[in-house]
Amino acid sequence: MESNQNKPRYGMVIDLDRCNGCGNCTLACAVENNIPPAQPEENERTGITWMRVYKVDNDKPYPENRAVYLPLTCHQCDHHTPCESVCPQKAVEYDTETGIVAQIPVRCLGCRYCMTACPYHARYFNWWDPEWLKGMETTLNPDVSTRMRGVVEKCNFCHGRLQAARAKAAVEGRRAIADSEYIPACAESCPTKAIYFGNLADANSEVSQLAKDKYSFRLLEQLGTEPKVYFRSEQPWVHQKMDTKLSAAAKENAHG
Amino acid sequence: MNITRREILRFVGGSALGLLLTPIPWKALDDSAVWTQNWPWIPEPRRGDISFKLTTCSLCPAACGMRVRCVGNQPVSLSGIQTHPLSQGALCPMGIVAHHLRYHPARVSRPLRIIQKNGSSRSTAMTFDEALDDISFAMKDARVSSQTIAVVDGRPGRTASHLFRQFAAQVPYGRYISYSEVSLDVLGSMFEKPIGPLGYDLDHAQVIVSFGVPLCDCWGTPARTARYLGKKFEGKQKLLQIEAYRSRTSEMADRWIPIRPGTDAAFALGMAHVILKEKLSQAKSKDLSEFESIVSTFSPSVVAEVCGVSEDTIVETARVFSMSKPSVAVIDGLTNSREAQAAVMILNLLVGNVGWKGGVAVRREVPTGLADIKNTESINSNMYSIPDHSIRVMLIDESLSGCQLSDTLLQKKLAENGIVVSLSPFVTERPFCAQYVIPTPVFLESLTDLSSPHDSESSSMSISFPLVPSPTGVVDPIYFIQRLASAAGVVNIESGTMEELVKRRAGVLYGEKRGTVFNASTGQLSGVRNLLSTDDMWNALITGGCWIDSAEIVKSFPAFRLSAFLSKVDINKLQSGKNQLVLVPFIEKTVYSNSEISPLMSKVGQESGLRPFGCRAYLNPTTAEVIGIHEGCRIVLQTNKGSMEAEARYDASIMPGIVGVSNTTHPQNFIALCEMNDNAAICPTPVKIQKV
Amino acid sequence: MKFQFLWFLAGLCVMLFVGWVVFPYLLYERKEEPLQFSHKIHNETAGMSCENCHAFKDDGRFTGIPTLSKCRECHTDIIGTSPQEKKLVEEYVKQNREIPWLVYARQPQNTYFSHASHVKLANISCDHCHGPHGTTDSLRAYERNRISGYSRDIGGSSITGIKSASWDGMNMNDCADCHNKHNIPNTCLKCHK
Repeated sequence: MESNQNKPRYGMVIDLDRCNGCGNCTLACAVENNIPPAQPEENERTGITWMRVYKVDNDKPYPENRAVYLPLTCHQCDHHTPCESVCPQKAVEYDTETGIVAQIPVRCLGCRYCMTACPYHARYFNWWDPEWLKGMETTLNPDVSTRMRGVVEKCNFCHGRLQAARAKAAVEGRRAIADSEYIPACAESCPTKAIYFGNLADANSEVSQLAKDKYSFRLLEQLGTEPKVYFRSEQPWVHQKMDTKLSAAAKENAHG
Repeated sequence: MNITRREILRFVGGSALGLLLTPIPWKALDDSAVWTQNWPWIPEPRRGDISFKLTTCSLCPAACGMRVRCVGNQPVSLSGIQTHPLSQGALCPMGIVAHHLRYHPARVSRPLRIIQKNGSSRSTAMTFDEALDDISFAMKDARVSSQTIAVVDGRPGRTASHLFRQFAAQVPYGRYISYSEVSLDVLGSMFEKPIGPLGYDLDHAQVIVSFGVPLCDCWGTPARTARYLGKKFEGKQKLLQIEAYRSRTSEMADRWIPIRPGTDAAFALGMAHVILKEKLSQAKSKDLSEFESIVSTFSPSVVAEVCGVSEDTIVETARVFSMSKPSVAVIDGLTNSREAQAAVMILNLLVGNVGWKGGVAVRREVPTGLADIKNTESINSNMYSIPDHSIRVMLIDESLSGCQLSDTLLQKKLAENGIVVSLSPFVTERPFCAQYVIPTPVFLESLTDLSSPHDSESSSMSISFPLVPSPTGVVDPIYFIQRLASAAGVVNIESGTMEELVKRRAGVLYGEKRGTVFNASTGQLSGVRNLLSTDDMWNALITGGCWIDSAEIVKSFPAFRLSAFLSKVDINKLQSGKNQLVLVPFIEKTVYSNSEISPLMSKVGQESGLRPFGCRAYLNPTTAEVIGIHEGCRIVLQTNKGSMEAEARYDASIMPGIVGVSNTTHPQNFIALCEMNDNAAICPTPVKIQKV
Repeated sequence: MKFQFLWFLAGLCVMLFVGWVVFPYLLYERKEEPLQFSHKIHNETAGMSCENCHAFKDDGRFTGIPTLSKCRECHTDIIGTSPQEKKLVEEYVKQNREIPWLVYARQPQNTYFSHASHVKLANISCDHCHGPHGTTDSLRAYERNRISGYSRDIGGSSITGIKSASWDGMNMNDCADCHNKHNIPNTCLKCHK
């Protein structure tokens, strides 16, 4: 999947030094995407959190223990997209127009092969039919469909918002949308502005420039999935823990 | 002609072939597949016009500007207002899902009477008039037996607060009990003359010394984290976070100073000792000699031993605090003993930052435009100075953010035959008394004015304007107090609806011609002098805007006296279980409300384990191994006061020797386990752990 | 032998009849629209155009079938002679009740369609997808597929799925075919939400 300069490739850079693990992103994502609240027996394994925040620590004992909070969502893998390549139903498709990996729940038959294939644990299964409190179903977002029991779902960079931005541009006679017109719910809700979102194919965008920064890295780079979500931190221990190129370079320099 | 099986089979055979030549198989199959994807019990989103409306969140004093996305007239999602000068587009996790509160199963739409008998409770619905009759009867009884009638207000400064005060002033033995940021109330009580509403001016401080206050976790205003980080990365602000476990704020702070739980007072007094000894104090009060003698016992070596830190840490912190100007010390009011709060507030007095930019801000009262209340001093009170078991009728306004005062404290002050009347949108059961619940509107249904966040330089006022109607049967707190007043024969209560009274207030603010107004629809900040009319002010305020007072600088430092809280402070009592396991609450109160929360909050609790929730006990792995507990096993926490089952979890950021338990989701069981300090707040409690 | 073959033939014919005549008839449930609205009268006599009622909003969304507030702009009281208009004013306008129109072109919940890109950017005329609906004098009955629950307009009027005109049928294949003809990539996310 080569990047096409005429078509946007949406990506994110998440600043781990700014994330305080508040959980706004998780909640804003759930509100935007009609994700139902937990069933009584639901837990961390079965819960549906398209955007989930993990606490990553430096494995040191108290009081040297340090942590960063890592918001994790679908990384929209660009190359040999693992989930797409295993789906028997063609319910997953890499969208060449935007770079977003589409998960179409109406086509999914629930085999969960994609969940196994995803190296980032970004896919979630509907173990139960969605249930909202009486009256709460009136707060559902009409730009996103609801799903039923037995299908897999995941983040799609709030594609409904992209459609809305495009419709607005179309009514004004434009085909292209401005950067500020399309922002996913998680990035919008972040109180510390730790999530940067934009077009990686545009060399001048903030996201592109941050992605090339020496402090930015991706998770599991060695797998070659070419994820479009980057993380960034200026703390050396984070790079060491994530085994990034920067930490490898530092090790090389240290050993001369 | 005989019709045998063979003929029928031939017929069927022909039909089968015919079936394949008709559209039935593939059409029926296709349509059935579609049918299986559209089960009728899966809700579908409603259709409607999309619009964005602006209002202000009323869940806490931060009063964040809110942008409400509506489908038709129905709010479906919330986000911040980016240009809002106070909230800067940030919301807290509870705020993001606040539009679900209307549908909470604990919602009440009719007055309830709840009676506790033999450990079980029974609730009966009643009409509003019946409830008023009952309560005014109790009020008459209180008058006869000279017992107190108290109104408890956790969000003072509103129009409703003014009416509560009017009510309390005219009722025999009436008291108006307010609490806000208790540490600031403690500081206020140290001045010889009453000093205006106080706040922490965190925006302009060079150094902030925080004793366990979750500044970067939605305390004050959710935008605080972004503001602090911005300054931190430019080297303009330093945060020193002093607390036992590595909280989110400790992670982000410039420096984290781990101290043993419950030893905040000792550390603060140790700092004071250094400040006085090295003559770093700016305080100009005659009465320091008594304080000096108390503090003389808190030398760095003694305090280091108590707190579990090095002497250098104490000395260095004291120096950084007093030598960088401006600096401010903060401590949370509701979870620390008043002794600890007094000790920390004295640090502010010693560096002389009260009334200065970047220190403790002295703000001006925001005028309400309503009639002045005579003898207001005689009715004002805080819960701690009320004699025990003296309140016969306790009216608690829990309509916005629940009641932050603990049940233990309320029970202590309630008379044996006392009743509690809670103004709340949700059922709030108090297990120790007869109670009435008067249903009030919830966020997005109620119109209310909101006063200032704790962490801003000057006073401000915002209005939470309703976007949806409230259910029938629900009453505004103002309406309730007006009706109760007339039922009880109280004459001089402001009449008028909430909207009329708040609009009057906006007019009065306009008339004062001071401060600035932010209009969220235009994104503009303008001086009040430049507004054309009251309507401009009103329209700005009801659409997510705010009024911000001009800052006031105190010219001369107000005189203060030693706080009575410290006269009995004893270093020995400040030690907490050094060689025993100690139970400590995680203060998630900023994220989990004292009122109800949306069920979607399970995303950050139950479904991801991001925040501690329910019955989980967090231990350092070394502590757990010593006791012999592995992760995930069920344990029993046993204290002098009771026991509770929990699931054990490892957490390397917790100090060895302590067990952290979240105080979320109706923690009656957890509170029953813990020892209480004089603030009726939970204090670290020795605990034993056994495997189930 | 002949008789035996006749039985077979009888079975075949009966089933062919059931499949091609009875089944299409039974499959669709006919419902009349709550009001008989005449596009012709509104276009010609009242001099209105499509955009008067079916317009784009600033945010790019399409009004679709207008709400009662649009009808009320003219019909606060009876202004004509037809019994249908009397029904409109008495049963809906005066009682402030939205008219429960049965929408022929209603797509399922999982589908996204943007009128803005098709009308404004691709310049497709209304009748290309909706047929000569805008010139009719009355509203035909709404036909609902009893098994799938969708309108007959989605699958097409013919049971075979063979389109009689460009507006006959608007299911996924119809959209995809048109996109293919115009070299627009058919990515899932284009239409699914």
